[in-house]
Amino acid sequence: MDLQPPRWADRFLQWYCNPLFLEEIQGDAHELFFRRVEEEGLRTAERKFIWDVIRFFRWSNIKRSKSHAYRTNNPAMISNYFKTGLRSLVKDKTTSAINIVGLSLAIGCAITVFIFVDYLINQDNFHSNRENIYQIINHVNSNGEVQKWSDVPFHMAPELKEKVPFIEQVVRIEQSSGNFRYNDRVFNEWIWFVDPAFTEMFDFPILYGNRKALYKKEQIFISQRVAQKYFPDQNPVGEQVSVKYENGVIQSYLIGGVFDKVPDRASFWPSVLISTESFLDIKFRDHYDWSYLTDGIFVSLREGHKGHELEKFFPDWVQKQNQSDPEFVTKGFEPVPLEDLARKSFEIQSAIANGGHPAGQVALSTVAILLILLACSNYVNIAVSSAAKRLKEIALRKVMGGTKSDIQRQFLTENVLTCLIAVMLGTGLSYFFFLPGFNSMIPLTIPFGFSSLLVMSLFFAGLLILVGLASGAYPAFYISRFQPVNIFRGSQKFGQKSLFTKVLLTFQFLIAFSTIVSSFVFTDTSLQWISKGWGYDPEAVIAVPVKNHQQYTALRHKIAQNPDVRQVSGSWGHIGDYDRLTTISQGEVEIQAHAYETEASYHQLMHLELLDGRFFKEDSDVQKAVITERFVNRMYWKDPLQQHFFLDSIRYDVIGVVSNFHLDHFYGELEPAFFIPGEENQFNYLTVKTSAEKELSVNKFIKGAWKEIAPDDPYEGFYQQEVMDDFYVENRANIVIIGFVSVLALVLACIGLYGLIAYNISRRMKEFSVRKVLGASLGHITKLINRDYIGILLIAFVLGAPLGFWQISQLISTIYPEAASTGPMPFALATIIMVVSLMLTIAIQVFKVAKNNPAETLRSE
Amino acid sequence: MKGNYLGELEELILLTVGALYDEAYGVAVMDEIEQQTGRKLNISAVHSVLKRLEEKAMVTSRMGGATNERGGRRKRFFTLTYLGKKALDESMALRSQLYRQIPNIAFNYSV
Repeated sequence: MDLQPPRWADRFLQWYCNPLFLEEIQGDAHELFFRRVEEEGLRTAERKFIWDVIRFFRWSNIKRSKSHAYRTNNPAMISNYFKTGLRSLVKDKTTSAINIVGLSLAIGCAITVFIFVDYLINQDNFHSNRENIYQIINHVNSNGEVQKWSDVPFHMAPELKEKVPFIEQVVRIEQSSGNFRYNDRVFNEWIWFVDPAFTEMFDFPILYGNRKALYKKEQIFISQRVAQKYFPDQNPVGEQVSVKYENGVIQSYLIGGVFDKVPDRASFWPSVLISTESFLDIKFRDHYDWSYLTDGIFVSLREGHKGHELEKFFPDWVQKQNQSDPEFVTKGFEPVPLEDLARKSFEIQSAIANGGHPAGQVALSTVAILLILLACSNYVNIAVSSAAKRLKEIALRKVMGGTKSDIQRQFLTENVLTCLIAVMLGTGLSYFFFLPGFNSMIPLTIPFGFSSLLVMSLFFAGLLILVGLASGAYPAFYISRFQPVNIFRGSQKFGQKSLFTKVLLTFQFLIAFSTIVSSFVFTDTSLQWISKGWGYDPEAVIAVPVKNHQQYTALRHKIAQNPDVRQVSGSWGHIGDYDRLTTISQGEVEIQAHAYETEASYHQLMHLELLDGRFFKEDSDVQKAVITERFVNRMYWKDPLQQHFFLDSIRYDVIGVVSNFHLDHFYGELEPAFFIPGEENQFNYLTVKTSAEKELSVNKFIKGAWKEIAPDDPYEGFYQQEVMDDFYVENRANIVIIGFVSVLALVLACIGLYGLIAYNISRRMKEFSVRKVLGASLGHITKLINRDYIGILLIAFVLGAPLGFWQISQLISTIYPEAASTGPMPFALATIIMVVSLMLTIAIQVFKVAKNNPAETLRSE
Repeated sequence: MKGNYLGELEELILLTVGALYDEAYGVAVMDEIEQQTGRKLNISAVHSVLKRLEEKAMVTSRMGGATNERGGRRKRFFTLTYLGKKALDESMALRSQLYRQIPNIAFNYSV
């Protein structure tokens, strides 16, 4: 019969009706329905059926807990699940280990990434008044694009305080640097000139001194790190220091207070605080009008007021600012809450807070989720195939009255148990290895902790439930569907033929292959690119920045006396440390290029390779320039030596071409640069060439000389080889992170494969034994074992390798656009690594089969 | 006591169950009443009365065999118990006793 009563009504009846009465009630209702269809038509029958169902909805017919109490699981059953779960974990140690190790590796990564992201999202949350603090951000029109700037008019601060009634405090931050001196200790320090309310608005913990110290302009605040440099292990409050500013002014200050250790979650923190009043005394400028921009303004509002209420005051100030400085066009101001500041800092120019770009967080989160997925698919695959060993248990449970949902509940409980162990292990891994390792590679030190207890509990609960369900749901549903009759008869089919399993395995290896290929290609490309050289010879070169001509001549004179010094040269600007970007032009063409005004010997000292023409000679060449190859390319010059260009409307004739060189990193494209003869009294660098063995002693000698010549200025000389250090550290970190992820992906995929093969072998051990008895060779059996997987691995490789190559090429083309594309080497290496690890995985299993005595397996029946 | 009193609908259904003897299940009872008295009952009412009668032990029930009708669902057949029969007898006796006491004179006119 095609006709059916309305499905929903029937379902509703089944849902509410006491199962004891359901059959008769439903039967009667259906009988009436079919009779009515013939007598009164479908519509009426349906209507009447619904009416009947509603009328049957009576207290006496409704399912009540009393009537189905036998279905609920009592606590005894749940404890039984745990018991069987633990037993089966212990019984099959290999599989349990594979599952738990895989899951805990992935979970460890996930925890680490979560802590990292949580840290970056919740920076600065130790300031107790943070809800009411805002930074005023400047929206600036720059070539039709709106940029956000941290810099805002200096004079906005008093106006804010005067005109806005609900403002509590206003704090300006003006950044500068100065040379601190206490007795013979001289260092250059980064200084913030701030309004005295700074220490009240922000809750940086104070170690010594008074929070209100800045209200006296002769008092300053210093950080613990700074205090340690001048006053190791003592309370410096009341000590006097002198500060020499960039404009030559020397001021004396008293230490008014010392900050304690910077809180872990701070995105910005002061090193030295001096009051704004003192800043005005120093007179970097004669006067400050509305066009003068300070580095940042923070305001705190009274309780109950929101940042957007400030907006109606802004238009006046926008107008004032634009009138006083038509070059720097302000479109408007925006109050950004302190809570969002670190997160938004990547799009704010010269931001006070350091937040990092969200791309990193997104990338790492993706990686973490991917790893979790890999580990989960391992679990799914192994759990599905391992059901083989527990078929009888499942069948028996069902025969004894266990329903489908009981079995599902049992397997999910077991799974949650496994996950719980994995979460604990993963936490340990993250705490002891992953997070410290990660911290050692990034410029931040992230503590192992969460922004709040709630976040932590939600994260762990979510992790447990998600991983537990993602990995446990499919096996539980799959297993619970088995029919006991089929199991006992031995005709239950499961595991190895499942398309789902195959897809999961392919997916795992796809990811493993693509990350391995990525990692090799990236490592190879970046190392090759870097090994191409810097474009000059940095070995045994020491560069010393100098402040003025007196220092320059005195130091040069001293250094010349040292017999180990081979060559000395002066310059204005220095490769890798002071690369001034200038705009040069020829006719209509304008390009940006780095300018160095040097002595004639500079090029020889730095070993710049001359490609064409000559370098300028001592004193005889005026308005001549030596340019780099890239400069020639950018100007599209065919005959560079016949060319000229203008810099600040002075004409320079090109007399030579040198090879390109890198500044202080290998990122991005090489930039053009040029050298022009410099005037000695302008030189701000003294560069010294010595020999590799004498490098240390010469540096020491220069340092000694410096102390005599310039006692008020710290010695800032450095080895030329150090200019790339930051870059090398970053590049190594990138290689390590990509490599780590790829190794992890491969390990996860391999242990997944290992577990799967192990199960299929143990399931087919009897078959193999019979084959062996009948004379099958080991090779034949190996072929049998591998038959199911070779295809999958091939597909994964064929898809994964190009995928990984494509992915990483995208990355490389943004980081190192000029690096030559890599040869077949990394592919070969990646393939070898993968093949070896796969063969190893399989070989262990085959060995097990080979070693197995067929008599033993067969006898056990 | 609960069991001693029979409602009007209960009595009607109990009678029908007795009359249908071996074929008394929900729909049949409902149809029979409709045929005999013209009274339309909802099936759910029949069910709840039958259930009540069973609780009062005036009927017993058994599940019938599977049929091809009604999606293979079985019917629950009701039969009169001794107690049920006795209750009907008593009610019948009570009625006729009372009936007989009606004085003839009262309605001594013919239509």
